[in-house]
Amino acid sequence: MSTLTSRPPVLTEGLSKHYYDEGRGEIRAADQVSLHCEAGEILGILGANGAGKTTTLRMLSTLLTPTSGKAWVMGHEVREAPEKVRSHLGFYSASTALYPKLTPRETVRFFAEVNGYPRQQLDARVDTLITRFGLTDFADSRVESLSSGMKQKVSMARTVAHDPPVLIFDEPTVALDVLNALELRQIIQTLRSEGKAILFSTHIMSEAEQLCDRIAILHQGRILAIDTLDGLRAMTGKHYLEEIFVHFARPEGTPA
Amino acid sequence: MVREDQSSPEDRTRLLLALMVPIFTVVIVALASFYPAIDTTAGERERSTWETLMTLSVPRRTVVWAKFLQVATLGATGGLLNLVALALSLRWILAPMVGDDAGALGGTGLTLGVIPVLLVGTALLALLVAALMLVFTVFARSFKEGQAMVSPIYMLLILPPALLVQPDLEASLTLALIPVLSTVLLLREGLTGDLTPLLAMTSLGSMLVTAIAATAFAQWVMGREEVLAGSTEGGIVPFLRRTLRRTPTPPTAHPHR
Repeated sequence: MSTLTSRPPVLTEGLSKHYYDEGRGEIRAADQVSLHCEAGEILGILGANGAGKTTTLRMLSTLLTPTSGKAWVMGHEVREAPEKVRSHLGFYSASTALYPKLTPRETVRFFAEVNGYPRQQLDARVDTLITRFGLTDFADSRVESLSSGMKQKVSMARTVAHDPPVLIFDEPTVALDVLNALELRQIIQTLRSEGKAILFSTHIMSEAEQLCDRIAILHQGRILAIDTLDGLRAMTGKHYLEEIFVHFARPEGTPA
Repeated sequence: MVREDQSSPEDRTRLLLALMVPIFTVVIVALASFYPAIDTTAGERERSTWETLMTLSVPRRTVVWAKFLQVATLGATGGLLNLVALALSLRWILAPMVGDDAGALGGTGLTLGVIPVLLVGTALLALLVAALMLVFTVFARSFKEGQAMVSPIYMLLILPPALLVQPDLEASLTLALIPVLSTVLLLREGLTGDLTPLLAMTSLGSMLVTAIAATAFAQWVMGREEVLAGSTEGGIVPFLRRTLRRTPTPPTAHPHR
């Protein structure tokens, strides 16, 4: 077994998740997914709905168990050490909601504490995040009374509360308006500059173009290509990401 | 022919207690568990906090145990408070009803030694009820669905005490082996002073075994991936059918949305 430090913060090798459905037979929600993400990098996972983005990210965050293959987060394998994996990552998606009766301060404190942030530094950490995310005026109001934009900030603060080195964003902007989506992308860019390894799944091409250092194109559970945007352009001879995506997902001659 | 009630105030008190307390206890334990069980499972899914909870870096079994103990504690507290409330109301409400002064209630046969037995019986009932309710509500996606799923459990729980409303039903060791009915018998016989050590042990033993089995089953169900991931379809029966055939359901991209 390799040492904890010899691997990139996120690494998957042949990660697969198969199901059996009575009507459709075997479903390969994720099939032989191999990727890695370095510190200070945003790896975009681009795919249509049902491509396997969420399944892959859920396996990485230990919400689902892989059928086969391996995945490591900060050197910890997802099946062997799920608690350690979760303590090293922050998971954000539109379906990870907040506890409405807690205040932002209580929320951040709870998630930092339960995820193992040092107790003696908790107060300072909570204050830092409350200030950083512009929550000072609402820090002691119940989450249920906040606007959706403020809730999103609290949710981001919750995600990074324990200062994890790896962050997973699963279609985070899907339910947000333009301004809130922009603000969220800016926060993610700041987190990248702090050295976080970030996985960012989306089906919005422009978002992937703007934000991601490398992009993995996922289709029907498989990674079809993974490279920088320039690398994908060189590979396909196409300029726009949408064209590149179509090039891989629907090769010429295939019916629409 | 003139019919004359020749029973003593003590007899009438015993009868009333035997009728009221077991039913009240089962109903109150079920009621006290009902909302927490739905809230901690279907409620969390409806509020979309279930997935948030599952991302915490604590072992999943800890989360499952916490939910189970929360429901069981509230159920047991409800049941025990009910017993305390009944005991307190004996003096001020029941005594005037049976036309007796407070002194006659001392003859109900309820001794200090029996009280811990009744408390343990109620606590075991709460464990069983919590496990049963969670096994059903964990499949619900909304509070309303949870209410619909758990309603049959009510019938299952209330039927035994309803049968025992007949005061002439003889307590037997065979009856004491039947879950829930065993607690009802324990309470009834304990309150009327007819509880024998053998019946108490049989009743408590039966409840203990059932509560452990139900808890283990609830832990197994709630610890399954498709349940934790919230991607399961239908209730406990389709889940068991799928699981026994080893055919998990496909994941939904955002099951709580």
